[in-house]
This record gives sequence, structure tokens and C-alpha cells, in this order.
Amino acid sequence: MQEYTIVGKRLPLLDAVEKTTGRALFTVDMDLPGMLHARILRSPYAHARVLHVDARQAERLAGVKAVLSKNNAPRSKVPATLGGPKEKVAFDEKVRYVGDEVAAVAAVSKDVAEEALRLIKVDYEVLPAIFDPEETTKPGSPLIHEDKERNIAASVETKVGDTEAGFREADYVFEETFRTSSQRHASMETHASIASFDVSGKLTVWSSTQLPFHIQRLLAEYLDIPMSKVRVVKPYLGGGFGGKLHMVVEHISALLSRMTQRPVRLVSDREEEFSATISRHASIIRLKVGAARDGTLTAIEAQAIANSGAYLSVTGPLRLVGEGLIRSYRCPNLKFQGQSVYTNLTPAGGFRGYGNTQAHFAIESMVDVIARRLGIDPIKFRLKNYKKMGDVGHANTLITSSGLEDCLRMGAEKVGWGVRDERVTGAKRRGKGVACLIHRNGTRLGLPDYSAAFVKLNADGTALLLIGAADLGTGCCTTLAQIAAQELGLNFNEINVVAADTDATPFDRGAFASATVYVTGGAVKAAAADAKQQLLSYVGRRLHAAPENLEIRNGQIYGEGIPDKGLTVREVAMEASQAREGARAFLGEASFENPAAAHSFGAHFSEVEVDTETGQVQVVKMVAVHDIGRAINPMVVEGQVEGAVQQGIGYVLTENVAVDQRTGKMLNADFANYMVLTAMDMPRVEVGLVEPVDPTGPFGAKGVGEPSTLGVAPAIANAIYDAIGIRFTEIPITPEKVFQAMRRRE
Amino acid sequence: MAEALLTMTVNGDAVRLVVEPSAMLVDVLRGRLGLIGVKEACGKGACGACTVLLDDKPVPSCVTPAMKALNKNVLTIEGLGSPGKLHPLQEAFIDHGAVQCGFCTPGMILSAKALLDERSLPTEEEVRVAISGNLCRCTGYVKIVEAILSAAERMRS
Repeated sequence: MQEYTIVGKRLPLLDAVEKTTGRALFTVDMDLPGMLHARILRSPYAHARVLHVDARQAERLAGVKAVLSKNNAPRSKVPATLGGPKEKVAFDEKVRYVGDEVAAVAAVSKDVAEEALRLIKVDYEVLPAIFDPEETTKPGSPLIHEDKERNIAASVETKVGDTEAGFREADYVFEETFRTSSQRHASMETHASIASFDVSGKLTVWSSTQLPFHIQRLLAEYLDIPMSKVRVVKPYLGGGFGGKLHMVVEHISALLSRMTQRPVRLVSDREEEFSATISRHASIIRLKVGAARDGTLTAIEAQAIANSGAYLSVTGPLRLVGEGLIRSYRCPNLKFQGQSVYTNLTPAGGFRGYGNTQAHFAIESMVDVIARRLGIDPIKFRLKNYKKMGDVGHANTLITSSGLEDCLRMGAEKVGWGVRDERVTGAKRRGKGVACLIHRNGTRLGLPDYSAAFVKLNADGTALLLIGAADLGTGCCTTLAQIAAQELGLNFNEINVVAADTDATPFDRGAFASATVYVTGGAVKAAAADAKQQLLSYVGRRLHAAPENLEIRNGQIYGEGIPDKGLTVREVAMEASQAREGARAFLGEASFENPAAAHSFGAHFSEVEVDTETGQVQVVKMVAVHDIGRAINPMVVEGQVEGAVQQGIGYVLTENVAVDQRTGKMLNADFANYMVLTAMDMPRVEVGLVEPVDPTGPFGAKGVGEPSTLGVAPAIANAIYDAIGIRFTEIPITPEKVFQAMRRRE
Repeated sequence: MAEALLTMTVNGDAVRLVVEPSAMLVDVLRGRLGLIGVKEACGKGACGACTVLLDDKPVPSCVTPAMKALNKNVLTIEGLGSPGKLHPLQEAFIDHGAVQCGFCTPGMILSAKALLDERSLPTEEEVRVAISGNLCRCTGYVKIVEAILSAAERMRS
């Protein structure tokens, strides 16, 4: 593998000093002159008609500047993100989950706004509600959206070959049903937005969004103003994980700003963040798999119900559930039937893995069942059956590179596969589990998928990278600056980044589908190459040399005709900017479409210790080995994987979402009761990287953010089986469930 | 509305403010003094993002009445080090990649400082306990723990 001077180096984040010294300005930290504070009145009912809203008393309260409700909110539907449907009217005549918006107040302070909420009188006609994703589609269930029969929000069907014939060929047929939970993102910064109309009617929105350019378009459409009149800026952002792909607060703060002609700040509190933003789709997955005695798969049939909650928001996760279930392993006969269904619960949407996470828990657990039943080592089974380079992977996309075999080998060695820990005695049992993972980079063939970049060479020989990429804390601005520096031939500290301002930076696809490095990185590399080409052509003309015979390394120009004393980019850039004649700027640009939606791969291994007396599962060790092509910044990559392990363990063991089955209210909408892992709960994590260079990625790179979550849950469930011989098909696997399962077995 | 006079030292500066007796420390530090390095993420003292040191002890400022700081020393992240003169903990967090989104970072560093003030060479377990009240959703704590142990070494040598 070719070595580079900047790409592949463990460089600290460009913005780490601001963040460690408390200088980093997040949306929640901003204050504008005259800024108002907004709060939202939310429905206490899971399903009700809003008959009448009386806001007169609230409007009369000193300090209240605007009240928004069905009385005065636009009746047009809120445009949805990433190909989702337009279905929600903000402040509708009907509320569809506990937490749905009924009214909003903008006031001179948060306290006054909250006092005003208490003065708003609402008459509701309470309707029967439905929370069960299977019951909801049965005849007689209350309709959540009148135009959606049987509460079916979306359907997906995929069929390849003949599964019936496949099952007839099989020596064994396995059937299992899996259930996954509506995990919450629990980003440390909640959803936040400040909207401000200026005197010319131009709207600026500072938002904690993963999709600045999409939000710009959605706001323009919703407010019925030209896109050029909307500017979206993403300041520092305190975590997103997919929850901030959706327009949750921006349009409401914008409406209130338009009403008051003042800046309006709207920030979710923690309870709202948990119960009234976005969750992961809970799912029910039925899998039927046929296998020959030697482990060859003959048919896979999968059915999935994705619980979309009160609004559909996006359809992508349902499709990805299907792809993950039926197209991760080689098998000729496939069938997937999926439904997203409405229930009167918190809406579900994007969450790291985007459906593939749910699929991985099911298929990787199922494969473990099959391998054990056939007496084949789970690693050998996967080596034999997993999709390989040259195969068609997910969404009819060719696999352009795969290091999966090396991932499995390295991981097996690190975890001590096949070696049982004999130290454990008494009530404790130890076990090991493995899971593979596969995930595409981007949405190519599903949604428009491209990014653009500008690279401006400054007169002092440094470069400014202007990109719309939304760094959520993933470090992508640092990684992208490394790509720019490497391509330009400059030193890393000579690159500055301006990011995520729809007026100042070119279009970016946004931070989702593990494609910022892969797609935006491609744009950055191409824009840097363009700027470099302009500079070298200028030098070539001056020195009568062919530009292709020149190159730049560490800010120094080498090659044909370069004087002995050397020539620096700084000297050339300064000269070009000051020349009496022929002066010019070097401005690189590129628009870059996702070339091949490369697949990232990996293998996760876990070792667990189960206390058979209490049901407590302790993860002793996690080994996560990834093929993400070339790691542009291995330290950043490790950080992504380690964080994904924290979220993955939470998903499979601790992050239970408790909902009152009578009222539909989330009962643990706070950090004291929703169990996010602390530093004391985390096991030892070992990250391994195998780096087969992908021919389509910038410097061979692929994405890591989403893939890193996929294998954690099944690897742990498989390890629990290895430890105590009980197969858990429903997550989270809480101590109560383990305890009860042990009891049942006795 | 009732008023109270709050005198305290914040990051070395004497501060004199009239506050509502029920005001929380986080609101005074952020809203009145502009110390936005003090983050608020839950409002219930359950996540540690708002941690500040009150006479060297870590407290969640979102559930600490401001008047508790009367005549006491408050240290926020802004008072620990500056971009030109970083504290070893800040340096270690940067070098070890212990920072991702950065929202938990100020509180995390201050909890770590309180630990290192008491125990100059803590064990890994002691570090994990000391920051167990500070939630992070990005890093899995791996590099944070490494950074704190490394800062302890740096500060000793």
C-alpha cells in the first residue's frame, strides 16, 4: 500500500482546541440581540382531535410576542427529508402521539414562554390509540392518518429466484422471529435552532442539523419563499447519529421569527429530545432460511414490520432492513416483504445504520443458529457464505473491495476464538460471539448523491477548503482537510476549513449513510487537484516547463526547470497575486457524484460474562475489526468505532424504552432512567483495521460511522448463547429477561 | 421578585451579582457571565455536561442553586487553560483524540481535574469512577480514559 505524508496520519481534530477550552460555539450557545425564546405545548394524549385552542390569555401575558397553533399555522404539509413523504401539518387538527405539537410560544425569556404555555386552553376529543405494530394493521384499528388504510405507511417487496424451490432443496429450514427496540439517539446537544428574518425578508437559520442544504430547501418550500432567501448555518454540533436528519425545530422557529420579526431560539429540552423528536425504528423481523448440510444457503425469506410511530418521516430504513436481511450472504433465492406501519408513538427515522442495524441483529443471530445446528464453526460458516468482492452486495451494487476475511482472522486472534476462559467459576458463565457486517457508502441509485467543494489557494501559500459537510463531531472536517492537504501537496497546518453555511459553501449531501469521506472526500480531492493544476500551469508557463513534470510536496515545488534554490507554493501564490501582468487567483472546484457506493465490511467479536443468579450480562471485551479501505485518520476511525460500541451495547443490553401501554407516554425520558453506558460500564475495546484500498474512494477510503454499529448487538447476543445456551431474539436483553429465561429453562 | 446578592470568585475574578434566590448556577454562569463552556444537556444533574468545580469539588451546575456558590471559588473550563496556554488535561484530550462533538468535553475535563487534584496517579478504575457521572455519546470513553491517565503522567513529570 502506498504511504502518504498526511493521509493515514493520526492527527488531532482541527477544532479540538476550541472544544477543550470551552470556546466552541454550539447553536444552543448563541445569543442574538432581541432574541426571543420559544417553547412548545405538546399533546398529553396519544391520539386526539384538537377541537379548540384558546390562546388569548397566553397572548396577553407580558413578554409573550407570538403564539402559534392550528388557529394561525400554515395548513401546508411540512416537506420531509431524504425522500420521505409530505404528510405532517405542523400544529394539526389532530395529534398523533404524546408529545405532538399543539402550540408554540415565543417570548422574551424561556420562563415567560413556559408560563404562557400553561395559560393556553385546549379542548381535545380523545380518540382510541394504538401502539402495537402488529395490531395496528388489523381491521378495526383506529386510523392514524385518514388517507392511509390499515395504518400502512409504506411497503417494500423484493423477490429474486424461487424461494419455494430453494426451501425444497434445503436439508434444513430454520425459522425465527426477532424483535428490536426504538432506541433513542441521546445526543448530548438536543435539537436546536435559531431563526432570524432580516429587513429584506431573508431568513438565516442556525441549526444543529446534519443536512444544512436539505433544510435550506425544505424551509424555502414550507415558507413559500425563494431558496436564495434562506441561509442555513450549522455551528458546532453536539452529536447527531441520524436524529438530526429531520426538520424538527427549524420550521417552527422560522414561523415564529416571521411572526415577530425577531430572532427566535427553539431548543428541545431533554424530555422532548427523548420523547418528541425521532427514534430508531422498532422492528419485528421474521426470517426463514434454507440450508444444505454443508452450509450452502438455498433460500432466504424475510418479513419485517418497522414501527414508524406517528409519522413516516423516511422510507429508507425499511428498504435497508430488507437489503441487510437478504443480501448480506450469498444465496440464489430471496424474498423480502416489509411494511412501515403507523402507531401512536414517537416518530421513527434515521439512526446510525438506518435499518441495517436491525437487519444485522436478526441475520447475524440467525446465521449463528444455523452454523451451530450444522456443526460448522460460525467463522467458517461466514467465510464460506458472506458476500465477497465482485458479488452484487446491497441495493444491486457491485462490491468494489472487501477485507472481510482478514477482519475475521484478525478478530478471531484478538478475542482468542475457540479458547474458553477457565477462570470463571460459580454462577458466572463466559462466552464468545461473532458477527459480520456490510454497509454501503451512500445512497446512490436511491437518492441524488453528490457533494461539491471549493479549494481557494491564498496568496500566502495556504489553502482554504470551503465545504458544506456537516461535522457532527465525527471529525470529518479534519479528515477532509487531510485529503485536501495531501492532494495539494501542502502541509496539514496550511489548510483551513470553512464549513456548513449554505451561502458560503457549495452543496453537500449532508452527514448520513456513511458517505462524507467517500463522496465529499472525492469532491475535496478533485477540487484540490483542480487548484493544484492551476498553480502548476502558472509555474509551467513562467518556467517554460510542462506542468505534468512538476509536483508539490510539503509546500515545495519540484521538477523540470525549478531553480536550485527551490520554489515554494507560497512564493508562487504571492507572485501570482501581486504580478503587474498576468496576476491571477487559483480557485479549485469540483462537483462529485457518488461513484460506486462502495461497501464497508467488518467483523465484531465479543466476550461476555453472564451471572446466572442475577441475569446480569457483563461485556468483558469487544473486538471490532473493520475494512474501511484506507483510514485517512486512524485515530478518528478508532473513535468512531469505540463510540459505536458504546451505542451498540446500549442497544442490545441496557437502552430499554419504557412506554405506558395505556397512555403511550414514554416513561423513562431522562438520563436517570434511560440507561446510556457510562465509563464504568464500558468493556475493553480493541479496534483493528485492515485496509484494502478501495479503487473508488479518495485515496482508497470508505466510510466507518454507520458500519461500526452493526455487529455489536448480534456479536453480544451470540456470545450470551455461547455462555448459557439461551438464544435471545428480542432486544434489549435486560437482566430480567435473562433471569426469567434461566428460570424457564430450569 | 425576591433578589439576592451573590459574591463569588469565578475563574479567579471577583464577581458581584444580584440574582433570583432560586437561580441555578448554570444559568448565572452561562446567561449572566457568558461562560458558554458550561454546557447544559439534561437540566436534572444526570449527565455531567454542566459540571463545574466549586471549591475544587465537581458539581452539576444545573441543579446547584447559584447561592451555593456564595463566597466560594468557581472554576469553569474557561478558567482552566486558554488556547495559548493549555492545561495538560486539555493537551491530552486533544492529542489522544478524546474529543469528538465536544459537548461533554468541558464537564469531563473538570471532573478529571478534580480527580487529579486529589490523586496524582489514579488507577484506570479510579478514572472511570471519577467520570462516571459525565455521559458521552460519541467516544465510548476509551480515549478519554487514556487521555486522563496520560495527563496524570504528564503533570507528574
